[in-house]
Amino acid sequence: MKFFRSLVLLLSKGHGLVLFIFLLAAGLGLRQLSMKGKELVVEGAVSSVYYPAQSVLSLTNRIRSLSYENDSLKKENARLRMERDNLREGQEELVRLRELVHFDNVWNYPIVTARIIGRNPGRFLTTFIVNRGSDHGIQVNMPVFTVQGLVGRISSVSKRHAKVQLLLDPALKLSVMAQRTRVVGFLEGGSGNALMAMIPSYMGVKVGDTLVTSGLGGIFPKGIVIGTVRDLRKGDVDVVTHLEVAPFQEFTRLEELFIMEKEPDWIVRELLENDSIH
Amino acid sequence: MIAFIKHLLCFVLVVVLQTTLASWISFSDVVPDFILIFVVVMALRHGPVEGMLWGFFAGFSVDVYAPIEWLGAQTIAFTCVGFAVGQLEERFLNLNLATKVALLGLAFMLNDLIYYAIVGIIKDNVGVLILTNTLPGCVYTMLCSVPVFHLLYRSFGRSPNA
Repeated sequence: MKFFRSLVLLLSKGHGLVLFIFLLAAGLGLRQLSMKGKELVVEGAVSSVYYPAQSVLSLTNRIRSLSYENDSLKKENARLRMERDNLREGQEELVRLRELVHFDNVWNYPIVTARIIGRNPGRFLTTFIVNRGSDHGIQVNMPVFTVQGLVGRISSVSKRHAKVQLLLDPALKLSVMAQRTRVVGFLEGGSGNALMAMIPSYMGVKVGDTLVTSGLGGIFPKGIVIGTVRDLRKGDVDVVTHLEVAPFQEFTRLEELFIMEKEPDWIVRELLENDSIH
Repeated sequence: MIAFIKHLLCFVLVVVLQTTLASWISFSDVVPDFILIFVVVMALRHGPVEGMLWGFFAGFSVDVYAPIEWLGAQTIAFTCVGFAVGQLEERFLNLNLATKVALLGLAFMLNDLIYYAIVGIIKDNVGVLILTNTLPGCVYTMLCSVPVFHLLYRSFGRSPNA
């Protein structure tokens, strides 16, 4: 202990000049070491003194790199989610288009795909605006449908847009047929998600029967499905039964439609001008 | 002994800051030298003996992680800085904030010049190095030292036993 104190006093002499010379000599000694000697010094220092400090440093650097990694993984995750959503959307579209191919085979008319870009602003849904018009070969009275069934008809056309009159519109009346009994009646609009139809009584129509287009109006081809009978009600006149029909469509959820490029039969064109039954 | 442990912990903290914070706040590849600030602070507050001892230790620590052929260069440079700055020990001189910061700037220049001289850069383009590396680093380090000197003065005053 006494030796140590004497050493400190000696080294501190002259404002530390002795110590300074000693440390300077040590530093120069380090400089003069051979490469192997330098390696030994560094290796000894790193393995004994600096190892704990180094682990602290590497820990902080690791935290920093983890933070960067986390950020980049978040970005990649967001990108992958977006890609996954796009793929799902594409897959659903593919399913719809595959069904359409089968549908197209049945009806044998050219079909134009249209996207709904607007709807009537009132409380009761009666009309869609689609992004296809006369430029795409669309004409008034062409049938509009989806793979679930009939939606309505084209009621007016501009160059790039067309208006679709939905089955829900009471102004649209069309000839329908019970698929099982083949009895013909009329569909006359609806409200909400229910269509109203009239059909002759005593013809055996039951709840659960499917209604399809009869093909008699000249606009819609025969056999496009519309909905199922949900309820039966006797009319004021005994010969007619009122049907409440649950459509296969959910009109409020539609995004894409198919327009069948079928012109009305020439015989019924004249009738159409005077008759509101299609 | 307790004071020594406190200073040692401070030194470890400074090394951590130098290897993390310094690169985060780098400005066009110019980084502040927190280790030099530490050596200057130690020399100013505790005199030339502690200044040069910490300078030796700090310089050696920098050398250990530098290319092996330059071993000893930073050790000598930091030791010289610690000894030189320690001559203006606060116990005997009343230095204001601006003087301390200016002193740090001089210490930075001295440190780099000694380093260049030892590693042999002085023969080549030392002028360019001073302009592109030393001067920007010196200014940045001086700026970073202002809060350090201010906080130390606010916390410990002029006492050398901090």
